[in-house]
Amino acid sequence: MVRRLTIAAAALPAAVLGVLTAGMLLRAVVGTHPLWRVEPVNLSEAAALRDPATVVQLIRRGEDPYQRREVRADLLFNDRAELTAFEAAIASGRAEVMETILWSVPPPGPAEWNRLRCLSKLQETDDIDEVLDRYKPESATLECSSVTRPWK
Amino acid sequence: MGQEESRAGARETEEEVRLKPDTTGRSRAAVLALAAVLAAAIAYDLWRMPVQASDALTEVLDAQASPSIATSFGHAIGTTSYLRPLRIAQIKALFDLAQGRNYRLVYRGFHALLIVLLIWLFVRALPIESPLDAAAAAVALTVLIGLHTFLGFLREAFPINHFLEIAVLVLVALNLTLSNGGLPRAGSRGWIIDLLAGLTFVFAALTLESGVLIWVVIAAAWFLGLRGVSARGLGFVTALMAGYFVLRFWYLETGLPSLTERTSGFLLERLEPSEIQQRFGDRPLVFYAYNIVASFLSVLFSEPRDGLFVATRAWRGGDVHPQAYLTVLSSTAMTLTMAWAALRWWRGGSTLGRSGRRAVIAVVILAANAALSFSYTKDDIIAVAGVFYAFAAFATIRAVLEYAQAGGAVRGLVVSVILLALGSAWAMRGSGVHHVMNEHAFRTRNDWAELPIRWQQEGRWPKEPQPLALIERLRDQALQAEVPNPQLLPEWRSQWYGD
Repeated sequence: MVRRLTIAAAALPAAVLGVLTAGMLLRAVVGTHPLWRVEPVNLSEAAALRDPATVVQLIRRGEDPYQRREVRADLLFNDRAELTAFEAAIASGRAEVMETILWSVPPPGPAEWNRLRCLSKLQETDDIDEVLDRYKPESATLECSSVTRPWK
Repeated sequence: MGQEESRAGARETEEEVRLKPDTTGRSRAAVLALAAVLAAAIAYDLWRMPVQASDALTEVLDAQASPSIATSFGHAIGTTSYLRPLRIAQIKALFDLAQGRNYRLVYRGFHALLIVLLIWLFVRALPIESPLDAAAAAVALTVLIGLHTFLGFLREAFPINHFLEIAVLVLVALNLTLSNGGLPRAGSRGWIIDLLAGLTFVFAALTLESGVLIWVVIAAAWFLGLRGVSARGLGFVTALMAGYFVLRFWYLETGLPSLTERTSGFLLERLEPSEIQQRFGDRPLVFYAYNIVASFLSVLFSEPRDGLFVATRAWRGGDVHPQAYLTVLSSTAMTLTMAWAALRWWRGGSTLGRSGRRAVIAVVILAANAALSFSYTKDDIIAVAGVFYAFAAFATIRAVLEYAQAGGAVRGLVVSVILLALGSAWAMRGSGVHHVMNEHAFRTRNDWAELPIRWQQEGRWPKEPQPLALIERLRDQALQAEVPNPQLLPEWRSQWYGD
């Protein structure tokens, strides 16, 4: 009895791991592996979630980074928000996402560039300031007095 | 004397089998089934991961530019600090195998194959002939995949994970020493085994410096009476080892890595090459000694990591995640249990059993692997010792089970509770492999997204159409990979599994 108990106690955790792993593999066969399940996101959410690869993919599929989309509650803020991908990148403070978007689409015009640059200034995201400055249209000038954050 | 040890080993095997016979082979089959499931799950993770971008792409582009495998091999000879011509030749060979299309299939498929081979060779080298052995082997499997050094086999940045390759080759050598029940074969089959041992050494030593561990494992096994590789074979491998040193240090004058090759962890901070030079330039032996001790401790206690005492630093900063407690405490508990088992064996004055011999080989490999880490310490380099730590865990759990069964009900209950807790901690660690792979895949895919921007800024972006087409193809494949975003996963996963 004691012999069986000690052997069972030693083997049980590994056996449980084996059973759970086998379950995952079975689900992988039907395409629902629990650890590799991809939750769909829109372009603004991908930008908010620091996911430049998905940003590139969605832009390739035709999504417009200048268009506002819903960012679900708790992804970036406690409440849901309507943001463009650019705004989501600024709000999440991700310079690499901003750079990826700018690299993937036609650069913003002077007015839009000014608005984004002012938002970045308001957020005090210095590294995003640097990225935006590299993509500054020749005719753009920085005027932030009328720019406010589109999120709370 | 060696022959007598082999005979003693054979006698002991018969006695142990007589005690708890398992003529149906069900115990080994059960462990193989567990190993197959764990290996398949990790292979699946690898398959889902894009080919690496960072350091891998440069080598893949080099392979594209090289006219042949022989040229790649030749160019890698005569460089300073490292002698790794087969490493580069293999990358080229797999590149050619992909035929301009199936890069992910070839590189990722080879990686997955190596992982399956590692786990299979590990189980193959375990003496499993009773339910008690099977229970110890099950724990050992969780130690194998749960130890932090195992992650180095999965997330290395180069096109082929050569550290994993070396670990597989060391296990091939161990299995050769165990062949024919650890006794030398007569006739042509004996010659073949010895020749295979030599080939394994040559292949490993010309791939990475850690390849010399092949000689260590064959020599240690021989001295312990495991002589599937005969005295002639050991002599052959020793001659090859001597030849390797002559080639490297005398003929090619390759030398050793300098003090300032790369950044390195030191106690609680990470030092840049200039800082290493400043602090240790006039006393490099202190730095080398630290690296050896740090590598040694890393395998035994999961701390430090890459030379850095990360858990200690987190504790001092008041930001300790459950993962730090889990890894350090489970490793410390296992290592202390190993020490207890070794002390008990020493005091008992009994002969080394089959599992005990593997444990002694593990100690030798740990010392040798730590010594090889003298120039810089990294979890990947010490990963072979991590595999052998799991052999030591097998011997230890086996000894604990035998101790429990030799006592009464109270002892059995206490030991059962301890084993359940220890086994659960290691199973938890083992389950974390998949989370780390998720995180790594996410980072790799994003590396590909940002690669053109980064390389253009650094002036590394190629202008010729061939490399550009290759980069675009690899990038497309990586971006099309479906990888979950770790930020959408429950927070407990990163708290318990780290990244």
